[in-house]
Amino acid sequence: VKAGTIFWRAAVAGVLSVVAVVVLLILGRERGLYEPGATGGPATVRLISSEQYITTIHEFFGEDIQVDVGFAPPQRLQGLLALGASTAAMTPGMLEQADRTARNVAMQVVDEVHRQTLIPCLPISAREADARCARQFFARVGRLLYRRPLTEAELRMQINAASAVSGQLGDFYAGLGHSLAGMLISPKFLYFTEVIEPDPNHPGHSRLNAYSKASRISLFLWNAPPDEGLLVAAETGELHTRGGLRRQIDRMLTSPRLELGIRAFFSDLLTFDKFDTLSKDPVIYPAFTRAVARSAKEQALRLITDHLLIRRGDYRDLFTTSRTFVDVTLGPLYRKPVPTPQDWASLELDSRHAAGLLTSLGFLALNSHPGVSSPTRRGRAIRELLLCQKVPDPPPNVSFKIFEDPNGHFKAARERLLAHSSDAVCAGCHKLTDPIGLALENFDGAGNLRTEDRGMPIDVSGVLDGRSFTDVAAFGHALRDHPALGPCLASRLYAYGLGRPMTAADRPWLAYIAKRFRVDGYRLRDLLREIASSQAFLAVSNPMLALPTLAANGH
Amino acid sequence: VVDTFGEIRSMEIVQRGYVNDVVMHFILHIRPALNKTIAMGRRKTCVRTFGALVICVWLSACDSHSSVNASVRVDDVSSHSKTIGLVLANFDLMMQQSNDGKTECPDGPVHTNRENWLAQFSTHAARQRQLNRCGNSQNRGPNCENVWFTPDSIADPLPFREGKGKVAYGINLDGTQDGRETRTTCPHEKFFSPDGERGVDNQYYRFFACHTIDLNGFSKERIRRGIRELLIYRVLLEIRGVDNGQNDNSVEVAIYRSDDPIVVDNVGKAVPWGSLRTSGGPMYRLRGQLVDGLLVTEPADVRWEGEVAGEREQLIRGMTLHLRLTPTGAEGIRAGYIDVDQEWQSYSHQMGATGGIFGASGPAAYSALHRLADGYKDPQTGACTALSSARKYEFVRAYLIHSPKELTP
Repeated sequence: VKAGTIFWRAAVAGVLSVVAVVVLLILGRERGLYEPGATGGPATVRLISSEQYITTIHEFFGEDIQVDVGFAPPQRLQGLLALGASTAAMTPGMLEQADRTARNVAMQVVDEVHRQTLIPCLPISAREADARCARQFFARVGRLLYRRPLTEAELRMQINAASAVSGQLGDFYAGLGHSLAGMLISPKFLYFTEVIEPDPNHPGHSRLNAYSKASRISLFLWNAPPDEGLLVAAETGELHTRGGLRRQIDRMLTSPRLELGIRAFFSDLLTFDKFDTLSKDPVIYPAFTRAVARSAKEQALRLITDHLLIRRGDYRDLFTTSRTFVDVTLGPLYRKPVPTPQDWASLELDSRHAAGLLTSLGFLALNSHPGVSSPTRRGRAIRELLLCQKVPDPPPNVSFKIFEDPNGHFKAARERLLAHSSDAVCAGCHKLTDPIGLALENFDGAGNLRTEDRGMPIDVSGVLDGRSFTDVAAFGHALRDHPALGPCLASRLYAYGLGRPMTAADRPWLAYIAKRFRVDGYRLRDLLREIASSQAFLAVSNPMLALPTLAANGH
Repeated sequence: VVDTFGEIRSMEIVQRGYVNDVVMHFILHIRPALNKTIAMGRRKTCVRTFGALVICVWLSACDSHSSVNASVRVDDVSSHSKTIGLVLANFDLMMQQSNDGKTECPDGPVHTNRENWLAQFSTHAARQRQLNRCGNSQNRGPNCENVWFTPDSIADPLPFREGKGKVAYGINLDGTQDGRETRTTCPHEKFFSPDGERGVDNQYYRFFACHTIDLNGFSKERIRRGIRELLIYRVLLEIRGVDNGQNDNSVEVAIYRSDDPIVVDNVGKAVPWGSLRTSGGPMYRLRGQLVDGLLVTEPADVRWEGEVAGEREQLIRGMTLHLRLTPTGAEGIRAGYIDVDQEWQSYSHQMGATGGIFGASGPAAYSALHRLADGYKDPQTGACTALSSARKYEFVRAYLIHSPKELTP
């Protein structure tokens, strides 16, 4: 017990070590370094979207195959169509369209132009059935279309169908096309069906089989079916190992296909499906044509992919940047030259009137009325799409008389909304939306910059959840610093990847991933990697029904 | 750089690295200005300004991204822009002004070839003999000549109906108020402009006014669709050296063509501020001046691409542009004398090839063209060889993107 002896030295070293470990643990938890355990949700069955259908056909058969398909979008759940796809049924109208498209695609694949490259063998005779060549074709195509190898029974069924038609028509390729059309309207192609299996590493638990993991990751990052590399990784079991999974994710994150995935996610998040039906009053906004609407959508997506993928920027700066993109259609609206009229050009806007995505033509025009801007719609879009806050729908008997009367006493939108909000029933919700929607009033219903509204100067000042602003640029900064902005994107992205709505059980993991997003500097690519490689992303709960397994076996 | 070269050119210069252009311009324009300023005792400021210019050029600080940003925003013609770009957006010949056409053509439209054939061969037997001998009604010359290819082989029995209206687009080209004969012009009737201005010359309109062409080649709908879809209408103007958008006694107007489409609005009208690439160098460079916002170019002989109903290239002698500049474009008159022989080639080609697209008859039209010609008198014969003409043009402002080849000295 004498001071300075080895006992005391050891004791001090021990205490210091314990303190250091405790501090590290506390800091680590605070910084979100430890992934919480995840129970996982049920396996999903997702209906293929039009974009995924087209991508699949083009990837496997080439981009010169014409695919005329436009399925109606499913119901939006928790702000995302992707979640609605997991509860969507195939309607008779959709099936009819899928059948027509399938026949058309199959006919092109086996026509004289394409058969040389798309069919890997030559039949003994072009006028007779050839089971050997048909087997080669369906084994290859089926693996790509069904995202897994075909079972022997499935393969025999396709060959028999092809042989029967070939025999009747005296045309080997007609039989092949007929059978291929059948594959293209099969639920095994039109639905991404996840299959679970017992987890050998955790007895009593289940896991997604390797092909289902490949599909889930591929849909998440590329919005496309798995490519050859992923299918091989699934076949060899690489996707069940941590290292193999990371290798595949890293490969996918550096692939040019990632941009397609990011475009798909943000199109879904920002409700860009509404561009298909967007129109403006041609008398009020004569310059807003269909071509402008198409370019406006592309402008927003270019800004997103340029900022988040190419520049690897902070997600929050997407709402403060003064950079945008213009093509020859949008150039006139900005009164700026496009140096290469056949291409897009980046453009630096006046920073006083720029707030990144918020002031992009697409966002502004999409969240407006056909003939006038709408601070309420814009405010609601910001709350719901970007901050994940719920704004209730207006009551069915609400009167828009004061707001919509063009000859009314109130000229500026702020005055009209104030008068409209004098109704106590309306006031609650409008307090949520209008102050922030009014920040964008310097842009009319078609997204064009303006300085006055019906002859009245525009006041864009306001407050966003305690943060005041005086112009749109300051509003962009206020949104950038809003604590809900980053977590909202992280949770939407996670739900989008899983293809199922979030539940209370997911909250700890959502809090964790939001922290990780913050620690990583709000970089999207890092967030994608975190989610895709996490245990939670691929975890599934024990099955209540054996339906997915039955479907996968061809029953 | 923007101030000296104009927004588009400066962008090209910086993007393409045309430092020589900048250096040359510095030698010619900036250095004298610097010397002058230095002499005024502001050496430090000048050195800083010059240094910034050099750094900007040499360090390529103005990349494409910031170049676009740095470009001058041309809001109105009175701004300090050096160049004004325009693209053709619409034109009008005002062929038929009244609803029923009775004001311009009280006797009806021009007589057709068939009407003249019926009059020339008054009996059924005579017509049958002509057809048996010559094959069709257009080969009705004495020796079965085709009346489009040899229009002077016969005289049509029916008169040519020319326009009788009093109003037409145009300007006073011959300098007289009554259209009397001068040393270089032939006697002719004058028009009033739509604004009531007297002394307007437009014999081209007088010739065409009673053709049944409003239903096809000259219709406004067809012109608008053509402007939208056909590259032959893609005419660009660049007004250079504009120091004052209202009054400037010396500007240059370069005429270009482009292969780029124009941006149109919901009703098919051209939208201002589009970007169009020039196809090669300028076809013509005209001198001109701005007088109270009206651009007037000096007369020059030009060849203008045909614009209506298969029209071929027109030789326009003494062409002048009178364009009123507006914040988003320009509107006014393209006037000049259209060469008779050139016009007949175009006209007869259409008639002969398609069986009379304008519905007229060759000999009468050929005779009328020469009779109505009022300018460019041949000193030998005393006959005029060209028709005064005018069309109303509408341009919208545009950004002209010059090809690097054109900018290379």
